[in-house]
Formats: sequence, structure tokens, C-alpha cells
Amino acid sequence: MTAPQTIPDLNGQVLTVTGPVDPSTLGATTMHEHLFLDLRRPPQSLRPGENEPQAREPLTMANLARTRHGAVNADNDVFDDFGMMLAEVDEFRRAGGGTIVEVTNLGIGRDPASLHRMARESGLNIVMGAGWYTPTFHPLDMDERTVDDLTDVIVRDIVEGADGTGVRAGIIGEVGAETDPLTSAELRSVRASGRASRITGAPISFHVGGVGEEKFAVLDILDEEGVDPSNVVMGHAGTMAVDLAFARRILARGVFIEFDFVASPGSPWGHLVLLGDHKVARGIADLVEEGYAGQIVLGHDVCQKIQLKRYGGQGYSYIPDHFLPALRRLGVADEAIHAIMVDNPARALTFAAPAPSRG
Amino acid sequence: MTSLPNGAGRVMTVAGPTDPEALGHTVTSVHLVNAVHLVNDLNGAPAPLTMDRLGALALDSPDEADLRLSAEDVRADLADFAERGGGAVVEVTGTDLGRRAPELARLSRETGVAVVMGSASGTAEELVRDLTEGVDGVRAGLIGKIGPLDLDQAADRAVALAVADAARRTGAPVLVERAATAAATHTLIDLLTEGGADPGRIAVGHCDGLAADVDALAELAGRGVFVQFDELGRLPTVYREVDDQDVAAAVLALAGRGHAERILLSPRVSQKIGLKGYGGVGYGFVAQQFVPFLQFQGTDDALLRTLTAANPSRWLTFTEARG
Repeated sequence: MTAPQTIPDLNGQVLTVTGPVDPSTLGATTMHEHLFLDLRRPPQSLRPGENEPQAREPLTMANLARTRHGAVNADNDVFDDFGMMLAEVDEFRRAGGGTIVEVTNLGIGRDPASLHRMARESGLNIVMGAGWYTPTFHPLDMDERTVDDLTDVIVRDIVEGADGTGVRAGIIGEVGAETDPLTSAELRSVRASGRASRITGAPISFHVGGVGEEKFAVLDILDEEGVDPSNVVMGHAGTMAVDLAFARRILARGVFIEFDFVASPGSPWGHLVLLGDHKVARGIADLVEEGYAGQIVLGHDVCQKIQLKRYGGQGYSYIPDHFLPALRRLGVADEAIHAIMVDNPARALTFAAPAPSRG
Repeated sequence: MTSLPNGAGRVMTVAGPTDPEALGHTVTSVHLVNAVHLVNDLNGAPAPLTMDRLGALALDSPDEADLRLSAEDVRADLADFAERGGGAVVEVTGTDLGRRAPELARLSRETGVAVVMGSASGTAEELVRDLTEGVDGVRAGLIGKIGPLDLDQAADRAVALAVADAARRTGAPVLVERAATAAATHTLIDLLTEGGADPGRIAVGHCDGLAADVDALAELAGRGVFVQFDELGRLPTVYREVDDQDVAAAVLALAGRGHAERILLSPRVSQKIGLKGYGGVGYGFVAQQFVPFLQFQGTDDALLRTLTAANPSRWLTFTEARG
């Protein structure tokens, strides 16, 4: 496979599933969501209990508690009911939302046609993801793929559209980089994401982006590939809210940090490993106080049915309905909240000028 | 003064006096049968408690269907508690909130879980009668939960004096909620102990809010009373300023300061959404989630036994009555 010859210049625009738009039209934006998704594990990566009959029961009140506590439930892992998802998404629109960044990518059920239809029917802008998620969901031949090969796939999704639909990805992500230390495949995926970003000008959103100090190695790779830091979102940054010294070191690189797993409905490791939203809000308030309001973005990371309102979760409107008021109570000014919800996402999502790969 | 049956050295369950050693893992402040909706301001008309409403309810939006528990609602959850090694629960529903002594006795028989019933209302005489004669033969096993009391209010002061008096006359354990300020809580402990309550049988509830203030917790424990963390099982929303990690850290910090024997643990199960049948954590939360988390932090078995069994058992054991 070779990269397309002509790379369109989307410099200064945001690429949604319905086409490029002016960044000033996005409105309040949640930077990390899933609307159509299939997180059931592939056969080579099954979790304990994945083949048990109870894992195949539909998700109901009867098994909600154990699913919240991490029991595998296949129904919980799939978003495919358009009508139900439209109703969920509409809650974000009702709460004043304008744009959803949908970071489902390869291997986890990305559905370009449904996202396009969702954008039409919901009236929201939707930005679609590209690239590879975590190693669990990598294709079986991932170890044989070169950086340039991976880069080509991402570039095509951004330039030509995904899966023959013509629906174009507007962000590379969520790029899985969570193993400690990062695997060779993750490192190649990271580098390919950086290279595709430089070639197309597209932004990148990371799932973790390296554990601890390895985040700096990931950012070094992006520098080598020539990615503009203002196009980089370091997702799942929750613990930075309680480690401000580390947050400052990441922020010094000029990237965005994303607090994106609020209102969690539970966890496979018990409720106790979850970072309380109040601590996240407090950390954000402190960072804003220190002058970092321009580098913070938010998302719910709705990725299991138990996070949907229909299934007892808080859905896509918890941030506007509950989290932002909490930030205000902690003294975060409206100006900073506008930056976090509107200006920062617009800046992060705006394409840079395309440039030839340095690779 | 009537001569009271001497329950010293025993725990009073709804099935009668029992050996403290028999309780095993005990959660110390839950509800089995209640009707809390009777005393809450509710939004709108009652509606069935369907899954799509759980999210809003989790954000503390009161609801009639949610705020009542029946024996039928909780039976499976109590059985689940037993399956996880749970031996006893302390049931703290006041008579004004729908306490139903016969139903508690029946639930205990059906599930094999010992139930210690609280008594929270009335004069010293009424408390003593509840502890010694009971309702239809079912006797209360502790005074509480009480409060939070404001001792500047005459009525609240009278309640505190009645509690102290009843504790002195029966040797019963006491559960009072933490008062509005640290000073007020200490004054309450003063009043209770001066009135004859044994500090070693007093538990101060709702200490979760102090999780970040280990000094304050240690000052309470230093009085010889129990500090009770009774809101475990939270999911993280912005309305929960303390999380279970904070409580776990506080527990370990207190233990490190020599106060391990002054700690009580309980999940918060007071409404349907606390039950597993409605997506909640249930009565088994401490055994299922909190203990493994403490183990993960390096807590040894001896300390876990102290926290989950020995402390509740000691707290609930009646001392000598002093007429």
C-alpha cells in the first residue's frame, strides 16, 4: 500500500464526519467518547469468564451490580443500537453540547456510516478516530507491519475515508499506548500516528500515551516526527489531577491533558481503585489557578453500556450538568470553563498544514 | 427502678442474647427494612425504579420507590452477605423511619445472618424497655443511631442525657453520629460518658467525612470510642468529596497510630440503589471489595480480623448494667 499522492490542505479547519468545518463553529466539545463500539475481546485475548453463560446474558438490573464490578458481559461491551445511542447523545445536545470526538478506531468496532448518520440526525458535529487501540485489539499481523505501512492506513482514513464509506477520520486515536514498558507494536503505532499527523495535519489523541515517565518517550517520538504539540491530547490523565508536579512536566511540552473517565460506574478492580471525581475537579481547579486553563480538555469516555443513562449511568451529559458546576463551585471562572469546553477542543482539533514525512 | 436482666458479656441480637465470638464479620450500620421516604422531601410522583433512573438517583435525587426497603427487597442481598462470610449486621432504622422488629427477626432466621437492632427514639425509659423487653419479644441490641445532635438545643441535649442514662442502666452499646464540629462531638462524648455510658461501647458514626483529617480521627479514637466509617461503597461523582480510597488510607493511618481497635466499617445500604439487585454494592461490600483493597495495600490478616470482626463484636458486647 502506498500513501495517496495528493494530501488535501485542511490547515485551519476541523474535519468532521460530514466534512471540514470552521473551528469556531464547534461549540462545547467532549473530547473522548464512543458512540458505536465493540469491545468484546478477540479470541486470542479472552478475559476470565468471557465464555461463561452468564457473560452472554443481556445486561439488565439483575446483572448490573456484578457488571459494574467488572464481571464480563458481552452486551455491556457493544454499542450498536442507533436509536438508543441517538437518545443518549441527544442529552449532550440538550445540555448545550455542540461536538463529540468519537475516538473509536481500528479493531474496536468503528462504524463510519453510523457516525455519519448520527451527525445528521443529532445535529451535532462528530469527529471520527483512526489508528490502533491497545495491543489486545491489534490485528494478528501487527508485529509484521512497518511504520510506513501503518502510516499509510491512517493517512487513507483521513484523506479518502474509512472502509470505503468516504467518511473521513478527523483525529488519530485513541492511540493505544498503555503497556509498561511499551511494546514494539505500540511504539510503531505511536510513531505511525505521529508520521500520519505530520503528513495530513491531523490531531492525535492518546489512550494513556505511555505509563509514567514513558509519556516523555512518546512525546519525543512525536517531536521526531514533527507533530505540533498543540495537536496532541494526552488522554486518561486522571491521576495527573493528584500529581500536579507530573502534570506540569507534561504541560511544559505544550500538549493538552485530558480528564476523561468521570462518573465511572465501577471497575473490574473494585470501586476503590477509581479516582474520585472530586479529586479530578480539585486538580483541574488548581491547574487553572496556575494558568494552565488553555491546555485542559474533558470527556466522559463512555465505553460500556453501564455508563449510558439507559443502563443506570450518567451518559454524555454529566460534564455539562454536574462536573462543570462542580468546577465553578471550586472557583473556576466561566472564562476558563469556556477555554476547557470550547476554545481548547477547537484548537486541538484544528488541522495543521500538511507536510512531507521526515521519515 | 426495675431490676434489669443482666446481659453483660453478651450481644443482643433479634434472636436473643448470643456469644460475641459467634458474630464473625459484622457490618455496623445498615438498613434492612425502612421507609425513609416518610421523612424526605421528594421530587414528583412515585415511579417504578427502572434501570434508566439509577443514574439520577445516584446523584442524590430523592425518590419514593428508592427510599424504602422491604424484607423481600433485601433478602437476596443478605444471603449474598452470608455467602461472602458475613455473620452479622447492625440495623439502625429508627422507629420513625419504619423499623419492623418482627421482620428483622424473620430475615435473620431465613438467612442465618445475626441482626442487631437499634433503638433510637424516646425517653431513657423507652430506650431501656426496647433493650430489655423489646417489641413482640424482639429486643434492641444497641442505642442508636442517634443524631447528629446539637447540644445547644434543649431537645437534643435531653436525647443525649436519655441515651447516657439508658446506656448506664443496660450496659448497651451506643451509636451516635458525628456532630457538626469536632468540639461538639467531643462535648457529646463528654456528656455521654459523664452520664454513665462506657466510652468503649460508644461508636461515633459518619466519620467518613474526616478521612482526610487523621489527627481529628485519632483524637476521637484516643477518647476510647470507636470511629465508624459507614458510607463505604461510593461511586465517584463530584458530589462525593471523600472516596473509599481516602477511608482506606485513614483506616491504615489510624492503625499505624495504634488505634486499630477503635475502627468500625460499614457499607452504606439505606435505599434500594445500595442493593445489588439495583446495581449497588450490597451488605457484602466490605468483604467483597474493601478488604481486598486493604490487602492490596499490605494489610495483614490479624488487622483485617480486628477491623471486620473483633471490633464490632467488642463494641456490641453489653457491659455490666449500673442501675
